[in-house]
Amino acid sequence: MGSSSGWGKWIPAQMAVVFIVFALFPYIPFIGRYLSLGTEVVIWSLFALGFNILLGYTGLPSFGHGAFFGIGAYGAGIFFLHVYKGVWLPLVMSIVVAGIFAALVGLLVAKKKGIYFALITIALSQVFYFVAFRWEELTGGETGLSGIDRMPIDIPGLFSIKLSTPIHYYYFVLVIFIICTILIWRLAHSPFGRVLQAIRENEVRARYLGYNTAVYKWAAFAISGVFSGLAGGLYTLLINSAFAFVLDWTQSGNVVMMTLLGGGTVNFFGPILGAAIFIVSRDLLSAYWESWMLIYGLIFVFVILFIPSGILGLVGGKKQTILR
Amino acid sequence: MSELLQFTMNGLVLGLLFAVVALGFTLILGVMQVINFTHGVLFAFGAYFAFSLQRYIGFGGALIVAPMLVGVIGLVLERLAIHRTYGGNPLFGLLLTFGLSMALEEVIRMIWGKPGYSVAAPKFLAGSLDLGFMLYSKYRFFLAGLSVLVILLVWLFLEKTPYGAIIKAGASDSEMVMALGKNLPRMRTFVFIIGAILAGVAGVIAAPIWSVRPTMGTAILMPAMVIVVLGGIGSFWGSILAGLIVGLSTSISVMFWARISDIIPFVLLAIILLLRPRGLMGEKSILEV
Amino acid sequence: MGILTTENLTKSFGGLKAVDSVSLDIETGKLTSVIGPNGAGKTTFFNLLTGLIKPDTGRIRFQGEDITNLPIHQIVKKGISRSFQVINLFNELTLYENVWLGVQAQQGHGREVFADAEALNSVKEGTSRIIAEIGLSGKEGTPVKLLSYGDRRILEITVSMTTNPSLLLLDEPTSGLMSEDRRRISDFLKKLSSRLTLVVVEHDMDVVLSISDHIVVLHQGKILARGTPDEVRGNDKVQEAYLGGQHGLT
Repeated sequence: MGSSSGWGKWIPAQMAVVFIVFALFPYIPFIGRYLSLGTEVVIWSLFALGFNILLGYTGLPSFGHGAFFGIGAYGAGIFFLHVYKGVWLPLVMSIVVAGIFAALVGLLVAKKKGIYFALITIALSQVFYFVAFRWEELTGGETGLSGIDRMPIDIPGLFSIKLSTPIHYYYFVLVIFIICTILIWRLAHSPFGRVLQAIRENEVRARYLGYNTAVYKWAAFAISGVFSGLAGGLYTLLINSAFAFVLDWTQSGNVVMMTLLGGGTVNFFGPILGAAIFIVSRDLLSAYWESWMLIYGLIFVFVILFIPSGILGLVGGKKQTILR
Repeated sequence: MSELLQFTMNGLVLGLLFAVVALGFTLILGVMQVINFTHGVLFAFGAYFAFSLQRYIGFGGALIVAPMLVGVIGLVLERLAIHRTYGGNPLFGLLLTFGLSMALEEVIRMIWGKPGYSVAAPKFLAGSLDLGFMLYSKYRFFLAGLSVLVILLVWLFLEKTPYGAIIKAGASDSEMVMALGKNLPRMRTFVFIIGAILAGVAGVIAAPIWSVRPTMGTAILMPAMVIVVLGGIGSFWGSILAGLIVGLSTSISVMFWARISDIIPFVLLAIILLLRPRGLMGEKSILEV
Repeated sequence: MGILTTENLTKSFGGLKAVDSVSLDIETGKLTSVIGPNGAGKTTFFNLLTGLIKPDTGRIRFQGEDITNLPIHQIVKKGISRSFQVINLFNELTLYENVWLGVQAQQGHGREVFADAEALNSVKEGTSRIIAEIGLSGKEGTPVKLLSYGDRRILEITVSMTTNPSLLLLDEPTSGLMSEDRRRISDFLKKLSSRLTLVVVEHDMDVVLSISDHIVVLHQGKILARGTPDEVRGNDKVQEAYLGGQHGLT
């Protein structure tokens, strides 16, 4: 595991399996038709993987990353509607804008940890929610933004891919997911990633080894914010709109939940599993029962009380120390 | 001028209400290090119980009974689930109470339905009081006065009774509490119940001026969290002071630029955090590095 | 002037002066022991020296440079390191990983974002070498929390040394150990003192008297006495503090 040369170093076996499963998804009978849902799963997997750099690897419980998801969502939408109707630029904007805000908020929270950290991230993330709600000229207020179409990707002289077609967009998102997953894997298994884990395990000792832990925490916060923003931008393109609910604190709670549920605190791939289970069950639940929030909430309770290391934590047996 | 006075007094009343809610929240936070997301929905239960009980036992009766019921809910939550998260990763307590709050909010919807209700203030408190230079709502005076009374009672309890001293000690040193031979789990349950009752009382007295609907819990929880951080986690007077500040600024900003009134508390928070990382009156605690 | 000097170092907590106007000069290359009853301010003193807490007044100079208000990581980079009285390791991680993190830090990796941590051969070699030196080869894969207490105490000192300090502060390195392990650490410290300057907080007087070049006695935050082991042993005030106090000379 890990240090074999060539491809194994970049794409370990488990990751290849995940990629293949996602690639084959549209062709699986019965469930392959639900492309929108599948795309959502891939988007949230990306969100959760990036978030896990902060939660699982650095051990910082941010309960406000939904804000960066939402900022990315709005960033892409606003740019599309008011500046340039494209594919790449709005997505780049979602990364840049979310990254800038994550970097700024990160400055305020980098020296905190534990409950203090969690509380402040909740409180600060709410600012963005209210801004989106109130700044109607920019964000459309309660009604939000709509008409954010998926423009085709034109390679002049060769071909044009119509992203408005669901299956094309699914693979587009998947390719971005694959690239990001590889990047996050490298990050997690780099010397930098090891420092993050040291901070999680014993921050004081990490400082006594000579590491400026505040800077590392800030970096983890900003980096995870960037991926959250990208996921938000991709989500806006998926639903062709942006509403204030993307910034709601339940989004923040959701991403924490799916990261934990899948086993993000013990396994790199936990967040992906968690996202898949979470998104699919939420969809099923809400379709069949009006009061599904009750079950939803109870699931949170169940997971926290009985499987806090998540599903991969159960399956994996003893808790792995340095995340693989 | 009288408009400004009106808004200022509204702000103070709102601030006092916030202070009561924040106080319960910060007690639980300070003593058990749990971010109690259910605090909002407990507030909502207070209002809803008041709504249902009012026609049978009147507002006064509801004022006594509803917080007790909310206290019972708090007891059940704490004993069944919440106490298991003490001392662990704070995220777990947060997520647990978050899940509970979602489920409970849905329970409210299932019992009382989705639309909002209005709760009428009791007749003897309806109408306005003539202060000479202005008329002001009698009920808001009552709300303010009751809030002050509640805050005073809590203060007396914490400062002047032996058990209150133990609770204060428990907030900073739980081992000492055990060494003194006191039952730590029972103390924590007690604190949680007190917090719940405070939320419930606030819910009852807020009901006539706040729209009673399932999401009202969320509407109060956000300001409560901001207030607690602004005032300093675990600080009694910090919660009161910050509550007043947030209430006043929210209310007065409505006069000038209504749109940003929601955001004012957060702006204040960000500024204060930059200048005083521990909040207005917070002390360096184990909650931060 | 020695490698480390403090001038009127003072720190209070609430109304209590934990460290009271301590002015000290630590001689380079020697082993200085700091002794005193519990509550004398020894750990607080170490905390001040390494930047974990800031003094109320006073200065700290390391190799001539004022380090009083520097953060921990910068002080460590200048060459001071410290071990903890209560074992402060990465408990959930293995022995190997604990040492590895120290070696990675010392070799300056940490900003590398895309390199493969598993492929840092120099770190791997350094780690294996250190583990062999302390005689714990074979236990690399054991999580620290499952190691024996004696092994953990050795590891506590070892990890502190991975930063390659010129001054090492050891806070009760033999705390809780049986006499055989105490001797093991005591010998280890004697060997170390030929390579670096050591300041050791200790309660075990046998250890203190056998390894120290100098002794400083702290009492209620103030320096009560200092000098060679013989000088301190014969000092009346020291006798009184120890005999009158709760903690006798073991």
